[in-house]
Amino acid sequence: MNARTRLNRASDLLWRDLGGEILVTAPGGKGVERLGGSALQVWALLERPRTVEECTRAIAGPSDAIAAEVESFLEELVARGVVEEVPEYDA
Amino acid sequence: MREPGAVEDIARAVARFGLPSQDPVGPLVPGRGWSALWRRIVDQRLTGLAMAASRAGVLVLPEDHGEELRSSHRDAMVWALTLERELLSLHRDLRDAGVEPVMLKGPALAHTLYPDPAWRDFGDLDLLVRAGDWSRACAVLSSRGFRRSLPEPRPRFDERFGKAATHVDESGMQIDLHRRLTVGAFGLWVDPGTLADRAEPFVVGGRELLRLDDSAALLHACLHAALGSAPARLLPLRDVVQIAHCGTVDWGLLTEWSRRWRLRAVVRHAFSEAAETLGVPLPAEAWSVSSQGASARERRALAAHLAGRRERGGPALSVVGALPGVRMKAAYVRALVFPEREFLVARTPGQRPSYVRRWTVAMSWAMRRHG
Repeated sequence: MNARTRLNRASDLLWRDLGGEILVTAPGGKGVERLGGSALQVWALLERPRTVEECTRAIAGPSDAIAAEVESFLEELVARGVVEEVPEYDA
Repeated sequence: MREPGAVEDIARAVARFGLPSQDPVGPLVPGRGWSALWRRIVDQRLTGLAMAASRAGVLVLPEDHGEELRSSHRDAMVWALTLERELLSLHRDLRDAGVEPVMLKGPALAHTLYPDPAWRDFGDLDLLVRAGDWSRACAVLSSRGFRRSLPEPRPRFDERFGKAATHVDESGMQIDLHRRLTVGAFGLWVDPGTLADRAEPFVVGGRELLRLDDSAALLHACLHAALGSAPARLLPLRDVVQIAHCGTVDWGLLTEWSRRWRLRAVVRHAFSEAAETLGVPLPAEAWSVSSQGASARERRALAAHLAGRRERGGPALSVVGALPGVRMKAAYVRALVFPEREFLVARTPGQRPSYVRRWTVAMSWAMRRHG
């Protein structure tokens, strides 16, 4: 994953918006994840495909330290199947 | 809130949240009645509607009560998502086995007829399969670790007479595999194949599943609300009103099905219960469905499911009258009077299985019916 990688919510994701938190689970997964706090910003941003750079800029602003955290969080979401990379031809 | 009826009043107001009501909803202030109301909301699977009412400022809760409600709702939705995840995987296996199930209630209503799936809680999955697919569907469930909670009274009982078989796994997940839409005489009168032929696609987790179309879903909601339990639970009543108002219902077709399958008394009962209990007017077309009088036979079959007769074998006895031909009636009675021993053991856990006890119960039903 790099700054230009485009991400989107996984197309097969199961989720519920509880107002103030989102519950998500991926079909192949086991548990149900709770997204709250700043994760909700990421969730809202990824309603449509965005690059990693767009996400980090929207959430972290000019702060490199926060941008690194956002990137790391996005990688975690991809690993859990909550977010998926969008192939170039779909972008 | 001091009056004993106030808890029920608020529970009903929560159950009608978001519908066009005659009475303005809220502000609802449970105050000291909160604990009783909370239990009622959780028991009736209304946490989603209560949360929506709370967010809209209609249900007014102090922070600690609001947190209790949020926590209950979160638990309910974690379970709903867990069920949906199982559903997607099960659906793939069923399709691989050549079975195309039609989803009833639960996710089918939550994702299509409610404004937000979080409003419509569910605790199990209900799948309708065709008679010819029954054995294969049971085998798929078995291969996934599900076991029937109750065996058939006799071989092929389900396919010939049964409504549904409940399957559970080790985690407590429950899947009701339906052969018919309801129990008793009405279950035999309704042709589920006609409704399954009109099934429509809907999407859960990116996967296309089938559900009853809105007209059939309303018919099923009426059956469930009127015959599912006595007194009717609030969520099935809400389903009736929700579909009647928000679904694309073919009222003429619903009228025809009600006439053809002797459901006029049931549909009228469900509409009346829903409108009166929730205090919500139904579309005018709803009353035209059951405007033609129900026959005495229909009214008797309905009475068999209502409080008083229900616990005394009413639905089972109504089946005898509805079955065509002496051979079918005899086969049904034989299966219930002389079930397999395995069925008896499962029906009386912790007790010595006894045919005599079973016959005594059946005799008492018959005596009370004719007494």
